[in-house]
Amino acid sequence: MTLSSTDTYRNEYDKLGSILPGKNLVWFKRLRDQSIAKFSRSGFFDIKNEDWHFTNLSVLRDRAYSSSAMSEGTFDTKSLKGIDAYHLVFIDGKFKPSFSTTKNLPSGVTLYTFRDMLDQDPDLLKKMVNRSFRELDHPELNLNLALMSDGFCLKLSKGTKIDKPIHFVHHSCPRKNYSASHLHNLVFAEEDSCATILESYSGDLRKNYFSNIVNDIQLEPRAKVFHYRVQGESSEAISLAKSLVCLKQDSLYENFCLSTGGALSRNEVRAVISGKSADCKIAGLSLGCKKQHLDNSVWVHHHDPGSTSRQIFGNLLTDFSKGVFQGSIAVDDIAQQTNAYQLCKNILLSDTASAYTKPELQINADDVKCSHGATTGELDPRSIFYLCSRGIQENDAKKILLGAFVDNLLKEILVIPVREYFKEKVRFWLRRQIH
Amino acid sequence: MTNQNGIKMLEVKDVHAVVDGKEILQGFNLSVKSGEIHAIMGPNGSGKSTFAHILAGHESYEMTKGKILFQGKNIKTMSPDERACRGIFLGFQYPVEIPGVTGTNFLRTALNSIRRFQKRKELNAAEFLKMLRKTLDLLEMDESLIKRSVNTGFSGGEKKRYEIIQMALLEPRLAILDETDSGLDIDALKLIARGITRMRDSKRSMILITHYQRLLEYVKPDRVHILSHGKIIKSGKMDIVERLEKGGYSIFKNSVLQGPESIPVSAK
Repeated sequence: MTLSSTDTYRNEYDKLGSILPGKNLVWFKRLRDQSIAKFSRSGFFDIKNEDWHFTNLSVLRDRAYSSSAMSEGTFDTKSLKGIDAYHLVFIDGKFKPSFSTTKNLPSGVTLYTFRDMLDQDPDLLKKMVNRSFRELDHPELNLNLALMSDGFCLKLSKGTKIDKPIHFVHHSCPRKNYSASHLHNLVFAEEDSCATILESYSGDLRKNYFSNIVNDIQLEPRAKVFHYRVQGESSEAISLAKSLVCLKQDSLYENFCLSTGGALSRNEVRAVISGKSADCKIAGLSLGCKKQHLDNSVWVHHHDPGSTSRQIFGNLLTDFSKGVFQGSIAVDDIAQQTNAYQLCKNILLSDTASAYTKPELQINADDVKCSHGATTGELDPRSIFYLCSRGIQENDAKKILLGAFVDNLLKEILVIPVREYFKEKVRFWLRRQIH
Repeated sequence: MTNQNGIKMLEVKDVHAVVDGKEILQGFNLSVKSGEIHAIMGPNGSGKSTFAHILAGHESYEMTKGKILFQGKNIKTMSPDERACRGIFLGFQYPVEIPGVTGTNFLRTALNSIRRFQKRKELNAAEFLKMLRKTLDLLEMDESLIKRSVNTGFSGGEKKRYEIIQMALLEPRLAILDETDSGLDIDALKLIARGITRMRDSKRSMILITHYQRLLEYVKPDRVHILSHGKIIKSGKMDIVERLEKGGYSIFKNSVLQGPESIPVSAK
């Protein structure tokens, strides 16, 4: 009899228990034990679960992805040249100091790898772990907590501002297919601090692996965190990323995810606003081709009054690709004067591409402004003809129109060097797809 | 032979065209020489815009019979962009709003696309701006429209003005202006007319599609044609316009392609 993937993960946990970081910390070991127990009971959710209705993880249920893979191939440092940043490079889940440039961080910035943090400052780690999501019982989160091998921990002291982005890079080039990495990142931004965090994920061509990322981010009053992701995994990869964000009073959190990679990917952001007048902007652009499945799922929960949230997403889909957007806004009864907005625009470039959009609004306060919108369609043939009638070739006309569509989304990115960096990546995709 | 002595700009021979399964043009004939301005007038639904779109190559308009020669070349298989590159320009009755695409980007791409086709040197940003300013000076217009997204949020008059700017910049050999005068107040109409007049030269032809004679008071056409039920039923000079003004289209109903003397006296 063959083992189910859930049992395989359980066995792997039992086997790895002695080498996973933090094994000597009682509270941490307990967290891992509890997490694997919960995962063993649930396995991955199937499509009967409302949150996973459009994204089927059967491929993860059918076979387990093992954590103990060795690297092969090399990391091309060219990918670090596109943006001026403090680079923090991981390959197949392991920190690579030789590629990293985090030596001269400004004072007030504490940056550890998760592994080092467990060894050197477990008390601070314990303080940094977000309490807001303790009740969250998600299988992929539990699996991450049980098997996480590394990641980064960033703490910004009061009033600290970082001059350039912290660039977390993860490249997958495992020797064997069906390997997994479970990384866990922590960000704690104290009062009045400000930082830009950029995550880049890439992988060797056609490698089949599973990347399971969790970001745990807390913003204290008046902190500002600009958080950007580039999901450029290998075309065969499965990528799950979950950002859990807690915003306090007058803080600003901005998230933008550009997804171009992976066979199946989900970018999930859950933001809890517990503080007055916070501002939460979550946006993303997915560019899909072939049989890619790209999911953006966002939950914003307004616990306190007078805050603003904004969800702006776009999918550009060709071939047989599928784009999913689930956007939820919940407003508690005391969260009066909430201003929440949501918009999803899909452009289908082929008859066989498809887009699924699910807005979900739960409003329990009466003095709020909440609105949402969604559009799905092809490029406007009238616009194409207009451009062509001026001597512009049809493909160039399409590129101009798609350029306008993506530029409009990229405007959501407030940090200009990052916006330009993303623009270049999008242009590259367009050049490759439209010819 | 066509294009004899280089004077024939456009020859439309017995063109039949279908839109949404309905035959709109039913034997359309027209001959335009280099340097001429022709006006096509006709009631709603007579096929004026269909003719304009057939010339520009819109895929929803299917030519089922006949031939169109532009500078002696059959254009049937040419894509809309190739027609534009060869010098055909359509001024739209309803210009399309394209949010997010700036005028400078659009116009420079268009101009360079045409120049590339004509094997002329493409213009860099500075050269383009210089040329654009020269064009705007000629038209006595300013840059404000160019800085905005193409047609987005433009008033009716601004959209028509923008079409004229594009025409002046792209310097076509043949311009078909589809009701460029409709919905304009008198000042805007004069501005458009001035633009058209300044573009008039011996190597360029224009076809003005219009409902009214207003524009033709400012831009005197060489020939005037009356279109009805998909074919030209009357051709002549400005006197046709005057008759039309007095009697409406009904006076031409029984006309066949003959001289102006065939207009029924009773209808005057």
